[in-house]
Amino acid sequence: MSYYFAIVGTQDNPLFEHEFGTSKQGGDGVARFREEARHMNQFIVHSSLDIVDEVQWNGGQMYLKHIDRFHNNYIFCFITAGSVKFLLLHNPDTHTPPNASSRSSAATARTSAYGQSASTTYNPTAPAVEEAIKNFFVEVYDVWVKTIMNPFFKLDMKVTSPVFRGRVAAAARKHL
Amino acid sequence: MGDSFSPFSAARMLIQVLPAGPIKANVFNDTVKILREAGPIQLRDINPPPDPDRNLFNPSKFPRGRISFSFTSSSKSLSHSVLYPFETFREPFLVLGLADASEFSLDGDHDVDAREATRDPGKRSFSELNSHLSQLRDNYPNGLVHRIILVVSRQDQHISDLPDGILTLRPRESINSLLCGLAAQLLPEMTGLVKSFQALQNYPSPLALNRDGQGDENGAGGSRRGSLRPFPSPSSSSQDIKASHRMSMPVMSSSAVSPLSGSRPGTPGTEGRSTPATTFDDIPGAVPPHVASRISTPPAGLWGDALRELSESATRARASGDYLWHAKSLENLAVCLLLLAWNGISFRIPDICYPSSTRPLAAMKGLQSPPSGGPGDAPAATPEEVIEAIRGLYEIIPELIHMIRDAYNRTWDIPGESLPQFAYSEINIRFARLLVGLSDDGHLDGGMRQLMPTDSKLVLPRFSRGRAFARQTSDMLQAAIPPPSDFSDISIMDTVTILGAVVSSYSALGMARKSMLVLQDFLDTLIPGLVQARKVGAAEAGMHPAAGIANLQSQAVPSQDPGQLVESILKFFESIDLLPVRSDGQEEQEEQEVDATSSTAISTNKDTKINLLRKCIKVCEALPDFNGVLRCTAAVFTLAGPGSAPNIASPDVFILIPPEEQIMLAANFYRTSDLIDNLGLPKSGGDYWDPFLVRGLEVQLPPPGREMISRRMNDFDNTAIEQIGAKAGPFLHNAFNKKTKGPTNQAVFVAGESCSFSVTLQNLFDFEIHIDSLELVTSMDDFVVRREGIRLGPHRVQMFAISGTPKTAGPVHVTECKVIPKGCMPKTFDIIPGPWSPPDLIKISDGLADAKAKDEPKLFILEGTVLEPQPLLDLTKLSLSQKAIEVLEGERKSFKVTLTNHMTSSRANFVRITPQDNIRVYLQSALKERDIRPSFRYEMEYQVYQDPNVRCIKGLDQQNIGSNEPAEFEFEILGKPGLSHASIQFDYCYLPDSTLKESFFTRMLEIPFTVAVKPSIRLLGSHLAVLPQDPMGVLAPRDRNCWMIMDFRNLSHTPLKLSLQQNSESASEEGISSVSLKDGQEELIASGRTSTVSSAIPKVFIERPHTAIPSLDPTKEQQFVLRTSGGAPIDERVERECFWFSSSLINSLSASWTDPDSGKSGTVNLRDISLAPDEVDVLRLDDVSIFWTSELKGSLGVPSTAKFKLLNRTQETIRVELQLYRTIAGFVDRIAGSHVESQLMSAIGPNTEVEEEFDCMFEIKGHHVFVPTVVEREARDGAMDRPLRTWQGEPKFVTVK
Repeated sequence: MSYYFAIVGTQDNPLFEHEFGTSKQGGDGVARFREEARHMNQFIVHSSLDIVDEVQWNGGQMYLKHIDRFHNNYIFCFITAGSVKFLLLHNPDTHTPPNASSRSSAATARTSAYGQSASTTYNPTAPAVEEAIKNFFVEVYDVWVKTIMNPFFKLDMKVTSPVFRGRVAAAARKHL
Repeated sequence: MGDSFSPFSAARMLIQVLPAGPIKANVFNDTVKILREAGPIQLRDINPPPDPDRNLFNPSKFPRGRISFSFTSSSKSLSHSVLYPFETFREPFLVLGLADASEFSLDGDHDVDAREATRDPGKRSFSELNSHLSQLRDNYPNGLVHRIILVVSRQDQHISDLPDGILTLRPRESINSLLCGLAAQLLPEMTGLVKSFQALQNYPSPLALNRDGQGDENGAGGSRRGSLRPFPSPSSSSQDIKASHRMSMPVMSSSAVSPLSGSRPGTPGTEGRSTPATTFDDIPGAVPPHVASRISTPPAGLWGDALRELSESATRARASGDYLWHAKSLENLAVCLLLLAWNGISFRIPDICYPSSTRPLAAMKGLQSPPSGGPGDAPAATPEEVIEAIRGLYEIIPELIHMIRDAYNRTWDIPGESLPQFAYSEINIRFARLLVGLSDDGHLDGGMRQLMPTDSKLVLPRFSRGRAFARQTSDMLQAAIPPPSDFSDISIMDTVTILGAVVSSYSALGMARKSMLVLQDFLDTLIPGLVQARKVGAAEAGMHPAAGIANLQSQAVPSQDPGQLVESILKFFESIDLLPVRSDGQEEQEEQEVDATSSTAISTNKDTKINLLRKCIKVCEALPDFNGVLRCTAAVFTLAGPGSAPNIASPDVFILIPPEEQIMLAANFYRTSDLIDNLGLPKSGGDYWDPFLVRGLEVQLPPPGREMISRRMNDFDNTAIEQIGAKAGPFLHNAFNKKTKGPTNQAVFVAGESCSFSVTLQNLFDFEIHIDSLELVTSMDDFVVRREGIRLGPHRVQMFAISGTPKTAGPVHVTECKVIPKGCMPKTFDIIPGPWSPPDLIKISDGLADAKAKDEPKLFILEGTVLEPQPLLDLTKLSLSQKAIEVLEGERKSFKVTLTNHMTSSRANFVRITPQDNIRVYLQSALKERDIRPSFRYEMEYQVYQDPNVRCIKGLDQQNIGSNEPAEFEFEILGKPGLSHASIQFDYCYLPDSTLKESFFTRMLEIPFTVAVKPSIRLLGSHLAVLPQDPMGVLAPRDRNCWMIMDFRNLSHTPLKLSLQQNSESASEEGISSVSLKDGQEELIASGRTSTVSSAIPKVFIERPHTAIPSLDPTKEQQFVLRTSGGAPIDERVERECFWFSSSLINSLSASWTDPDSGKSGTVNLRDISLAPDEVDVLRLDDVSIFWTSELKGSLGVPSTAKFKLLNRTQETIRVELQLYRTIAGFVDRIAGSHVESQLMSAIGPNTEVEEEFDCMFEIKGHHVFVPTVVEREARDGAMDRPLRTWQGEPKFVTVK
């Protein structure tokens, strides 16, 4: 269960990035992306902006819930009033080696493409998952608003504050 | 477009086109292109089959129907054809071989007897064609009709006696009639096919076929499908088929078949279905919904039956839990419904299309489309109804698709029942493309467009994107992406095509970022495949697979390599129809597609783009496509660059790719470019990456003497010259002394003379840039400025000299540079000297950018003029040795200058001479100060303008100097202390019409020389005093003269003779007979000695000594000057008086010296004389003077008359009263001793003398003193008023004894 959290500015430029693992179920809060997949996270999140552009007009909600998926990565989005996007990539892969055993048929291949072999039980639209991520987003939003109230903060400026990062990490530990 | 990704591929008839016999590639490609361009054919154009037994598809029943063909020239793949007839478009019904008629007649032309010859070889060829035809039949057993088309390129070629199965295609022959003929032959065959299917009782599921290739790995599946034999062709016996088919399928009840095939033979759509589950699919050629759709347009009732059959079979499949066939039925049903709706035929949406059969009836009806008009011939629906129906249909389409996908997904869990991955992916892509195509702003692919009704005026409504639209479509495409290859059995070719289709679908959906993410996968998969294919190809060609690109020269002609992989790329590009399909140059399309993706998506990540392009380079290398390598590499550099123009002084910009990679890419780039040149391949090249290559343009100054200097008409203001007098030469203020400044964007060139520019180029990258050619784009055609072979060093701003020669006169401007960088397309660059960076665009939404707030970089435009051929003067003779001259102070010397015009083609018709020296320069700079006392200013201006040290005395008026002709000038120099060097400047040019324009250009020749001035006699000091009492009368009269004392010192080494002259004219102007100085008074002064000269000089009358001190520079003249110095008015008054009297004195005196030994002579500078205020009083003559004209006779008691003369020197009339004061020395009695006699006089006119008399009587002895006094009175109504001014005359003493 690894997470990649990114704040994306109005120019689709990254303002803040953070990787962490789950702290629930005995997790130690360390991200465990596979090495070959880690560099793809940015690309995946970036490509999800296409979906954000579409679904942001659907309702007045800031929390857009689960919006996209790429292989075994699930993207959740929270959009602020200033069109800054909080994107959370969730990889439920617990880093177990893929099951290369008997089911090598086409059906197995396809389900693995759906990312359901590694965590077949994971459901991104489950209320518990949505709620936890929503709480995380809301807490980050709270910190975010305080950050951008800084008179020296300009639009689309990168956030480098270690305090901000610490608060995001705390929110992650608390909710995810 | 044999495209399994098109949503309507199931509704199109696939035709395989192959070469049969010898045919040139271009003829083949052209013919395929012609075939593809042919539109769908109308059923009414097809002749009905004569045989009633084979009349199942009778086109005459549906004259409005259409058949749309799709042609493929690619070879079939086994993994795909096993899906036939589950998906009928996997196999062609019609196989066409193309043969070139000219290839066959070629032999005949060589024979003498043409007619005989053409016939004989023709017969031989036709028999060859027969063998080709049978070969086609062997290779494509599933094809129903096999034909060979003989392409006749020459109209007059006579071909006869063709065997069966061979058709001809002549130029300008209607391709549609050919297709109609083929269709007429095909339809009866399809009847046979349908009947053969009807003979089957059930049908295999695709996976059974899939097993054939894979072997049986699944025990359970294997037991059920015990057959490994390939799928039988329709001609196989039904018994065999039965045996091989899975038995899990619900066996079709015979009662279901018979009514369809028997009782309604005329409904082709329902016809073919022998098993409920296979519905359409099994009617391979027979054309389930698709063919039905186009065939059965008119009889609406029959359509109703067809739909009913479809829904029945789907219902049956669902009931029996056969999800695969259920899904397939629904899929085809959806297509069928759409086609019906578009063609305006009444239909009723079957219940099976709704998500649940328990759906309320009301809701169903609400969604229902036009009330079905019964099975009969219902009239065609009105457009409104049709639109309503289409809207209703569109509403359920997303739900329907969801249902179908759900059904397909359920087959996962059934072992042996699921689709192969590629088929599953294709299904998903088909749905996604369908949704995109139907939605707003989506675009229809070619297949869909062909199937849309073209004849009706109906504007089809668009499917509106709902909230879930993006998610749903994206999910479908996501599902279509094949899993990593180690999980799946999917081939590289299939993966590549599927990924390509996903990419293009994302693009069509407007999700550029998504499409790029997938595109990376696509290229990753493609590259190893290409490399492998090339190795195989090289091995086939007998070369070592490890041979590099360069060694593949012989067969390296790109895009001609007929490998399987390249064919699959072709297929991929057909599948994405972002771009029109071309039969060659597929890789270009790929890049264009990449370009399109990257350019439309403004917000996509640069890193992603670069990553993609790196992969594109590898693809191009693998193909190999050298031009593609160039283009992609250039595109990488474009993206990696900053996209802005940095400050030239500090071009520190961030390049996205590291230096090592830049160097590597650049080396590869230039190597490839060289390779293309060496091979002689056509070169297109890339687009140069830095739009700010040219950062500056300057005109280099020509060598000294050749530059043209801008002059203005104002520099020659004649009025100013007249005011000053021509003494100093024609020019007042030295316009010609202005030095030209550095180069500007105003340039002057001379026709016929070479000029040079320096172009500043920038290179922000860490590699050397090779530039083949650099050329300035001038507005003159014959003004070519070009340089070839430039190397621009890494990471620097470099200037390059470039030269050219203008041929004709006229205005010219340079706006751009045309540069051909090596390996790139020629490009013109604007000249952008200043820093510039693109403004931040505000993203509004959906990638829309705020386009209006764009500021453009400031462009540099060089404006220039090309002048007529100009002369070039050079100094050929100077009468000074060593360019130096020695003079004594005050001495004048002359020298000669000879110039020659060296130009043969032009003459000078304008020559101006400006002498200059260091004193003058100093004074001119001093004159620029504002706070100079006016008297000093006047003195300096006098020296500058009136008394120059160097002046031209001969040749001043010479204006014309012909070509190769000399011209002589003479100059005079005056020695002054401090003069050390001087120069003479010639400004000359050729003016085409000999008249000065507002501004023009001249050339300049400057002749400097040094001057040594030796001292001679100098005035050390001077003093003025009142003349002493002169009882002897030797001296001049005291009242009109004063005494001047001057000290002169001889500073030279030799004795000099000084002579002092008085300018008598200035004195006589005063109207006073001056007492002349001893004119020509001479005195020899020994070396180093000082001599004092004293002399009486006449006093001076100045009527208005308080007027402002003038300025000799007309530009500095001021009209109203009250006070120029900051002091009190009295000071100003004193200064002005001193100035006027001093200048009057200086003008009246002159001194000169001669050297008795050498005979040299010169003048002594007296301008240093300046008067103190008390000296001014000495020098001054009053306005009114009173003189005694007769003496009084002092005799007691004798009356005497005193006569006076009154002189008014002013220009005004003065009213005066003459008074005579008379006192007696020693008397204190006021009455007797002292009194005033006064006499009122009327007025004295200007410059007039008046005589007056007083009568006196001496009554007392003693010394009488008479003082005549003139009192000016203010005139007021006849009465004398108070006195204004008084002047006293000389007192007289009379002694009365």
